[in-house]
Amino acid sequence: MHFDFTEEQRLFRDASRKFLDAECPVTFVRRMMEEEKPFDAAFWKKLTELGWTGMLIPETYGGVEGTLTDMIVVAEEIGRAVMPGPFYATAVTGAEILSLAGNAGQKDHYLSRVAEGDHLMTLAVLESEAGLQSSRISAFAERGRGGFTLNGEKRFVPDAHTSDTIIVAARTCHGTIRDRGISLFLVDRAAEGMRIEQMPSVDMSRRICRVVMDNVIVDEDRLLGEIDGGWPIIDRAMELTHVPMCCELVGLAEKALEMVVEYLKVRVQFDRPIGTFQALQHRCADLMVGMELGKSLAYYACYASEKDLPDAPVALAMAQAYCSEMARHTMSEGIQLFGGIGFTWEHDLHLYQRRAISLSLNMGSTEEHRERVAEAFMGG
Amino acid sequence: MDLEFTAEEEDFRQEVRTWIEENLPKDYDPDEYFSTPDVDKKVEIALAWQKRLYEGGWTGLNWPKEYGGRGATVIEQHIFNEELGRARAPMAAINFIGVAMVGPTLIHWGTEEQKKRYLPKILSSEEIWCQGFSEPGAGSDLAALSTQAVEEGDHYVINGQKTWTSMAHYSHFMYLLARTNKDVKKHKGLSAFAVDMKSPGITVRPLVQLTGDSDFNEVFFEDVRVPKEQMIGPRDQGWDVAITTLMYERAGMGAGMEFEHALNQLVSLAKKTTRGGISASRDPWVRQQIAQFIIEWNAVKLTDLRALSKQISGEPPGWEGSICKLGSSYMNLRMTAFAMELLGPYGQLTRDCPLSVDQGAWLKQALMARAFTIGGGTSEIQRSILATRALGLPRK
Ligand SMILES: Cc1cc2nc3c(=O)[nH]c(=O)nc-3n(C[C@H](O)[C@H](O)[C@H](O)COP(=O)(O)OP(=O)(O)OC[C@H]3O[C@@H](n4cnc5c(N)ncnc54)[C@H](O)[C@@H]3O)c2cc1C
Repeated sequence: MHFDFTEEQRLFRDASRKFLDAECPVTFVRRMMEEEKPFDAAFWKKLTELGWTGMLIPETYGGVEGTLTDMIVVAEEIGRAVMPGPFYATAVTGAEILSLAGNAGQKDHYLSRVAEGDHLMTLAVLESEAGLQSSRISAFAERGRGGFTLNGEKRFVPDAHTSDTIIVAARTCHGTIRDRGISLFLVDRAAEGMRIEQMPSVDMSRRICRVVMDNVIVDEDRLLGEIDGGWPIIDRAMELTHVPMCCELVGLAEKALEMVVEYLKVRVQFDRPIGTFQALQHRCADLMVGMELGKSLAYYACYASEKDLPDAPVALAMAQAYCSEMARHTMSEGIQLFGGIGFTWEHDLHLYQRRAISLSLNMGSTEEHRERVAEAFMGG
Repeated sequence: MDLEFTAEEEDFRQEVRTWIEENLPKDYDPDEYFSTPDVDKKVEIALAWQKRLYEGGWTGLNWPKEYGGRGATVIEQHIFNEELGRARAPMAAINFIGVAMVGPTLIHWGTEEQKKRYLPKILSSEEIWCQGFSEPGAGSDLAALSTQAVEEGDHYVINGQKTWTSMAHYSHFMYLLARTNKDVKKHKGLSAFAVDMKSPGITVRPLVQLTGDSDFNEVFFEDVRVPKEQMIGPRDQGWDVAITTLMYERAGMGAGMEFEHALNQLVSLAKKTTRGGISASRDPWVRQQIAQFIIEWNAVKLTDLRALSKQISGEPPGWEGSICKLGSSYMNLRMTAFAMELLGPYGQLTRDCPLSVDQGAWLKQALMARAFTIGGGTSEIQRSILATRALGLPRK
């Protein structure tokens, strides 16, 4: 029984924090926000050298073969530093999907490139009715001679504009049994018929895109995994992706609370630090309670997912619902506690708020997470 | 991260579970036990159970062996508590103060004679203890207490009043905090005592709680003589002694398994209640609410496990105690209010009404809910502790 990071993971956390303090100051975040594409090749190279991009990739492909817990150590720090640019789509979603479904040739090709830092990937699932259910997918892949022809539109695709490969979830068969009929395809971003547009959104340091496929032709060998059997792969990969996202929410909240507390100690009004006002002290205490409770749920979701326990999906739903609301509430309260300065563009808190909003909404709605919890405990 | 117990720990759990199954009286009805207003009856059941636990060698599990305990690890203690909660065994409430608070305090601060005199009878439940801290003028500001202990020969003479003293009317001893020095800062002039409740000059007056039950009391002291050797810890260091005790009190709260049981009951209630012709358990609003309570409860339980992990690896305790107490009491407050809402007009019926649902247990729990946000340090005090000590916000 040890429900905490190991000594080794703590050292890794300290090193990660030091790295981000040095290489990812908030000035870097702000610079990335201004860029057409918030991707810095030199920074990505450094992440690779640290082993972050190959964290979940087997050693045979040049990865670090770490655990999901190692990944959340990083995710918390990413939150604390509001690290910009692509990361999970390649290092978690992409790496996991290939590990789970790729054949030997695909793994060798893609995973070793990702581990080397030479290849970026993303997964395109959501469409107009942005729910993470197989029934919401209508993009279609028509089988022809030697390959498939893809048509359809994907939305909310993280980092598609900077990804080399877009893993597309498309229907290969109509109707049929629940969750069958979806297949995965490895599509080059630059393939003919692919149109990628950014969807301007709240968090400019991380972009989401719309991907339109107009008669995109992909070869047979770009089919990833078994035909019609893609959904369980997506399900598991999204579970593994959302766990670190919950931990990032915790990291965001932890850092925001530290910023607030520091400010309350030095800001003087009515001849005393405002941190002496009990009305404010108690609000900070409540934020701490929320952050710690959220951390417990997020860590457990990680543990359950890593061990692939039967309650992993419910544990994740709990963490998603709680951490999403907790982080957004922390930012909203934090801005209030900073007063006017907190309402400025210049102040950093809104960067945390923006990240909290986009991260949580990219996982779906808290209402839907709670419904999954209800289903587990009270039936349908 | 590793949330698994070792094979030995699992064996221990099995041993505890089997023992409880075999020893819990066959006619024991937990629903009745937890909802009865008949405090005498409740105390009788709890005492009988305590006696069995003692005979089985299960009381004071985590006390050192030399004092009659088992020297159990924190994990074993945790497993043991979990199993008691799972079986909904009678709460140790009647002897909780003795076993969980006074015992550890005596082991830490007491003289050898005191340990020999008191510890065995705490374990056997022959002597029940109450906690005489709060006074009419000193609650959250405990150090402001004014009950006096004045030295007179080989005795201290006590005058003053305690209040909200749980179970004083069933107790043989009081663990009393009184003022022995008025000329120093208020925290510096307190001392702790073991006071025989049969001493002349003590009057216990039960108070009726808002639920209608009588669990706590006022206790009056008029020239009560306490032998000097019954002082616990050094003179004027009662505050430090009390802090030791309150740490044990806090550690024992928050993650109470009764909340989990109530949540399960709430799911059953939703299933058997209809709203607009359909089961309430299918109503999206009801499902959202209940899911939220379940999530918050799990967060508390997991946070308690994080605290346990720290304890195991010998790290200084964090602030999990306050966090769990705030989290669980707040959840319970809303959960019981929600149950009232679900019951509609039936929510107001007491157990005396044959048409009441679940013997009026929800009403009782809704009324009881405030005990958890006031007793053991109010929610406001917990928040102040977190703000000033954990977050380091300035007091002045
Ligand atoms: C069911 C129950 C059982 C109990 N059993 C025992 C027992 O066995 N032995 C015993 O000694 N005591 C017992 N108590 C007493 C309990 O410890 C006190 O009630 C509690 O500490 C609060 O003190 P008080 O009642 O004097 O309220 P007060 O301290 O007067 O508080 C009144 C209100 O003011 C708030 N407040 C007070 N000070 C501050 C501050 N500095 N900042 C912000 N808000 C503040 C409080 O939070 C509360 O809301 C019991 C209480 C209950 C409800």
